[in-house]
Amino acid sequence: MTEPTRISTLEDLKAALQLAVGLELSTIPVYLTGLYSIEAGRNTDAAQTIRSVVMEEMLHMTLAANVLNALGEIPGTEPVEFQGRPNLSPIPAYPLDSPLISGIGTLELLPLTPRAVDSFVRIEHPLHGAATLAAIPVQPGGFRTIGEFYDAVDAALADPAICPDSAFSAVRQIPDGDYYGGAGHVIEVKDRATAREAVLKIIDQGEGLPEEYLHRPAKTVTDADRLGSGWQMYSHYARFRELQTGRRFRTDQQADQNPAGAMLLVDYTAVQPALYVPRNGDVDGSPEGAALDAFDLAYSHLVDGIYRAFAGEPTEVVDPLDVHAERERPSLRRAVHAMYGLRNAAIALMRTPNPAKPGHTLCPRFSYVPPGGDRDKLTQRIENRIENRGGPNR
Amino acid sequence: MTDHGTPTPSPQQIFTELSVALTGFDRAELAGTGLIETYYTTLLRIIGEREAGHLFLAAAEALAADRRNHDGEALRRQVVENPRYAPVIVSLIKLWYLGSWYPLSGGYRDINGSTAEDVEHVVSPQAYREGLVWIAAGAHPMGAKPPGFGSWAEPPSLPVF
Repeated sequence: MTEPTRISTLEDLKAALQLAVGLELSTIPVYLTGLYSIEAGRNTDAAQTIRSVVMEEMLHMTLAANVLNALGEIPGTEPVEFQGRPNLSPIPAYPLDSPLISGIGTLELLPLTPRAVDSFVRIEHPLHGAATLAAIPVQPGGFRTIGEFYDAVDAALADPAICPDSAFSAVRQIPDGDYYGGAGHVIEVKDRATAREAVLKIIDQGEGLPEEYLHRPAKTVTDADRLGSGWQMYSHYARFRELQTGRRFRTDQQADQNPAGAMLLVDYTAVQPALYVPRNGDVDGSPEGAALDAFDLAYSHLVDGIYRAFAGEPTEVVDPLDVHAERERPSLRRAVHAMYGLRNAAIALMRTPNPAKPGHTLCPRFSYVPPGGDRDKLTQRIENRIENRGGPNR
Repeated sequence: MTDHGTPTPSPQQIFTELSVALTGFDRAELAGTGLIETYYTTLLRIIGEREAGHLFLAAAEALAADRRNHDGEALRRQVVENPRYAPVIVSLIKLWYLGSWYPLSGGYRDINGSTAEDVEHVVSPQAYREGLVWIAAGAHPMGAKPPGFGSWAEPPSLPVF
């Protein structure tokens, strides 16, 4: 059996954590596309399930960022070098073949379909659907499963030869109060123990679940995994298995069994027929193309806002109604507002027919356009569009 | 067939193009509300298919002329300011912006009679949520589309689209 990749330097650990922030980010658009494709008011149980997982992915992204910051490294969107492999981008582009986790398969943006749910289960399965770890091909400097990756991260965090106690300090931590609406809590990392606690929480909620968890009760809930209302979260894998099979787990069942509890009704016809078409840089001048571009620009701003929050930087806002108002606003709070806005925009796109694909609607691309020439062109196009509102050629 | 031998667009297409011209939002933005079909049927229910047909024909001809001339003059003269259609146009603009149907004017009723449907009403919960007024104002419908904790401290901003 191949030995898993080990993280043996502080530089590699920091690069791994940069990629961990991106790994957590990369699952969010996949799940959100499924969630937002559900017609208003339909499939409420399925929507609740997907939403609960997305909320925790956001928590995991924040936890990874807190660990990285505690090691003195600012989370960033730029590509990193890891295990001698240059140019690994933390920011996902879809369809995504993870540069880090070979077993996870291609991440695609799909509306809620049985195939999409199969892929959700595959992402969250400890072995990503493979029968054995050995069955997953390994690439040098990569990992077969998310579990293997976080094991390596945890082992490095535990090793004083890689990161001495002096490497940890409580800087730029996102506080727990900024996370609301989901289960679990943000851990502010100040030392080795809290860093490992943060990584353990990511694993415990379902990312990189160890294989033996399959033989534990499916509805295992940690204390941190309860909402104030008493609603209990169990592993992402078990939650998505329920969606996949249309049945809930009974409390006495193990995660590797077929759920045999109450029915979970999923109506795949109450879903918008959104079809993902990758961004190719062409500008056809159509309102539909402009709407997709506007979404990408807003998403890019959102990603930048989140990373600004991780960097401890405020966001500059000019209030046109009060030029003397405080310009520096908390970045994370602004980013959360942008998330709500993006949700409305995604739902609108998925209601809009795609003229080039009869029977389908538009699908948000969640395409990050990095600051620079392409971003400037995109911004210019969207500004022109707003200025042309009400013009004769619409 | 219209004067240039091009096929007449479907009534739904004409309704969409007319709505684009009246609201200032493009067809993707209007489709994004999910209400084009709802408002089309609302209009037909209230003014009747025959009158809607007259309106759509006049609108299609005016919109075609405006496309050729790159202005909005024909639509303004032949539809928006035409006494026959003006009250309907006013109600249609309010419908898109507010999600509510507002009754046609007394003058319109004197000529065309009235229908039981032609009373003030919110067309649907979705119509309230998707009113264009909220986008235009950079605000959100009260009680729906929550913008997040602390958003009240931020200046209004134009939404994503």
